Amino acid sequence: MTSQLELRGRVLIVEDDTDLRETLSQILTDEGYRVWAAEHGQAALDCLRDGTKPCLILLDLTMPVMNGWQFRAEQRGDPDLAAIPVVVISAGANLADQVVPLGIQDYIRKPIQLGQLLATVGRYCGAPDDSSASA
Amino acid sequence: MARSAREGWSPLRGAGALSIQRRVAIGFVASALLVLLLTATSTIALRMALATDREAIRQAEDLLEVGLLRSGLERRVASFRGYLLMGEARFLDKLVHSRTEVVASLQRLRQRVTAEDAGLLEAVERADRGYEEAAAAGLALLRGGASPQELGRYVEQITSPRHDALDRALGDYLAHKRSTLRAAEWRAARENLWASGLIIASGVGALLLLLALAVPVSRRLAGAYEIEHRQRERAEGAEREQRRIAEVLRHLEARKSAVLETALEGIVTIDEGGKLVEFNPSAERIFGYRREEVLGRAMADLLIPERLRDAHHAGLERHLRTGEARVLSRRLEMPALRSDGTEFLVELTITRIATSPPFFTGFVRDISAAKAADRERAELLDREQRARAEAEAAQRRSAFLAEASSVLASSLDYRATLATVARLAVPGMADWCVVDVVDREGKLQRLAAAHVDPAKVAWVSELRERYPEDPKSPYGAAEVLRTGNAQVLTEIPDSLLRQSARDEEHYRILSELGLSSFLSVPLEAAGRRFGVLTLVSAESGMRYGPDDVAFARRLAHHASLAIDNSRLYEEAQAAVAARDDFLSIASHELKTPVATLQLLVQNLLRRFRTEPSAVSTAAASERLVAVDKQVMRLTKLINDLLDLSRITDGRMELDLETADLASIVRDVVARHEEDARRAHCTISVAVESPALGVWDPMRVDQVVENLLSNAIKYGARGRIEVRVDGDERVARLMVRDEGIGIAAEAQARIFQRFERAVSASDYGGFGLGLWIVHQIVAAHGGELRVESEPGRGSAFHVALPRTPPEPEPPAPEAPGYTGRTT
Repeated sequence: MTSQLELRGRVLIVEDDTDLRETLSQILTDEGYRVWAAEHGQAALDCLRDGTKPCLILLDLTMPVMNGWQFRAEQRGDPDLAAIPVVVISAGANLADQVVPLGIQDYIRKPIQLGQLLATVGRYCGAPDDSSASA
Repeated sequence: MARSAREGWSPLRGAGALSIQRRVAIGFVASALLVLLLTATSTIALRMALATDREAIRQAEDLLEVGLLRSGLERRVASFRGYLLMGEARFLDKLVHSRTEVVASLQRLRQRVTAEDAGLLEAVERADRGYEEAAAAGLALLRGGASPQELGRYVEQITSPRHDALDRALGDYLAHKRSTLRAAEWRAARENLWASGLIIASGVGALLLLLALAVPVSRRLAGAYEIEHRQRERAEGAEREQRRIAEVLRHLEARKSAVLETALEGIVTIDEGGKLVEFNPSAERIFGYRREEVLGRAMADLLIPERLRDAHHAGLERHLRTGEARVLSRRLEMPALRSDGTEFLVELTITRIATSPPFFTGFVRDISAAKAADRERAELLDREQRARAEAEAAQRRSAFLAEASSVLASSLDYRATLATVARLAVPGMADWCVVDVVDREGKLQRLAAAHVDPAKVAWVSELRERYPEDPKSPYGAAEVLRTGNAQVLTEIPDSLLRQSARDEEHYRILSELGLSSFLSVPLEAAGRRFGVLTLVSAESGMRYGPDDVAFARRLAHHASLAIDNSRLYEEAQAAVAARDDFLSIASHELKTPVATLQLLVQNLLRRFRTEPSAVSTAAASERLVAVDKQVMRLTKLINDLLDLSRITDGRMELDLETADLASIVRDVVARHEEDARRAHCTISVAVESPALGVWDPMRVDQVVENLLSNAIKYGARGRIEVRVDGDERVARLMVRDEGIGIAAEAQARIFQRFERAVSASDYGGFGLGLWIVHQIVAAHGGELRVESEPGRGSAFHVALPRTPPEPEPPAPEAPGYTGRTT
């Protein structure tokens, strides 16, 4: 599995809940993605400006230091980062309405269905199963 | 020659042959005849004069009687009105007494009535019967329990007109009697004059005749003796006649005096020089002078008030000069002077006695008592009208209150209700109405103000910002709120404005407002004083008194209920909103561990399904530990929710046993080591061990757990310090972090339900943790406080008594009474 890692996309997880963040990282790592995790928006921005751009950002909205809305505003204001697709993961009500002003179409509602998570990440970063099959 | 000349001259020439005796006899006979004639004439004249005098006396007695009747009637109507309108028994006694007097007086008049007066007296009796019937009906009304208003109306509409009719009839009768008396007196005076004239004339005539007879006789007689004798006789005769005439005159004077003595009215006569020549006993009584001391003195100086004297002199002088009579023979009312210097009102008729020079006689009656009765009647009427006006005002107020309570009940909006209260009072009750309400910090806020002119309201609120009210002022809302007593200033004196003005400009503005009176009452509901209602009068000049205080208190009572209702409604609304917020936060908070759990379980399942052999036991066990952790998290959240409902219902029970705070703290810290590490926090523990006390160990564990997890959550990767120490009485716990800290204004509310110092969109959690800590510490009789500075971290201090407090059922927290601040 480790040999295939180079082939898979990078995913940035921005989630303040340690358990959920670690669980998401574990699962996506197991699926062959390269995963970064940040506990709030500011950490995520630092990470993004460090260099390599991910193919997808999984973004929680409710976070300390810098929440999801603030992060999204920073990201859209930075030409280097604006193009990176973002999918919101949140438990909030009216999620569909909440993401529209953020310029985001996709969201994953908590609690999270594993199938939906993998399909969504696969849509943006290539299907790990396919690449693993071809490898 | 001389003799013949004498004979030629003498009328008795033919009787020259007669002897002296014969001539003397003839003279005697002639004298006797003349004396007879004189006596007859005098007698006739005297009889005539006496008859007219008797008539005058009779008329005067009649007048006296009518006067008695009139005063009896006045007493009767006054006591009737008094009894009917005030219901006091003394008036009833007076009424009975005066009625008896009236009946007796009428009876006497009827016995003395002449054909000429009969019609007028009958009119009086008729009017009297009319009044008596009305009065009897009035008394029946009173016994029938009629209200004072009805009685007042009855008096005004029924008995008063009848009394007036009676008064008029009596006035007619009296006027008639008075003119009859005057005529009789005039007739008597004329007859007396005539009789005196006749007697004097016949006396003089007789003397002349006798002289004519005596002269020739005496001429015939020789001898000085005879002449002397005759002269003496003649002189004696004349003297006798003079004595006789004087006696007649004295007699006449006595008759006239009798009239004057018995007349009811004061009779005062002056000569053309204004000197008093007559002053009868009634006049003595009326003016307080004795006849002897005033006769011959200037009437005006004694009886006329100084300011009217010049007019009197001018009038008299004009009359004497031109004959113009402005005041003669008319009924006059004017002030007069008593001997003691007091002024009083008299009714006066002046008659000119047409002698030359003329005399003037005034008939005077003291009407000050009658005027006083009039005044009393007017006063009664006035009092009655005032009572009616007060009743109307009371009715207006209660109608206003009824309207107020219905208007106040129509809205549940707090501010709208306050504005309604203010508007209701303007302009009927006040020119200004303001409502001040205590805010959360205990300061008075002006939440409503009303004036007929809205521009003024804006201007005054601006003024208030420039010159905020002094909370220590002994006048105004702050003081009323402090004491709970109403405050009323019937007048706002200039000195008060000066005293409360901050500077000259402020004083000028206050003066321009023209405030004239003010009234402040507290607003109270459910035993809580929460505001002040103030009424101020300015342009209208209304003056507030005790009635208005009672009224304003009632208005404030209605308003307080309405305001309290709308406040409760708003707080209930806020509580519902808070509950909705909480539900949304709670579902969000529950979903995060559920999401983790779901992913863990689904991922594990997927692994088992696709490649069961690739799942190592170690990997599976590691995932299951993670699953277990999420289950624990969920359990804790659910326990928090259960605590919420338990504590809110007042059902938190403590299982007390001896526990060691030190070991509880060590356990909790051990449980959170992993979390702290992942949050990049270091925990340093300084514990004095053991720290024993009688507590509920599970609850104390919860306290430490919540404080520590908060410190990790908000600690921002810093150092966390946990310390346990204490003394023999109290054990102390301190949890300090170096995190984001809590703003001062948030420190008071973080111990309340659903509260957190930071936005819910930044930090998750129920917002229950500190509230539960607070409740648990309080249930143990302990204290919880926070020291914090934003950006520098927070320190929570818990003090737990080592022995439990007196058992006291924990009171359920009152649902959101935000007026009470912690």
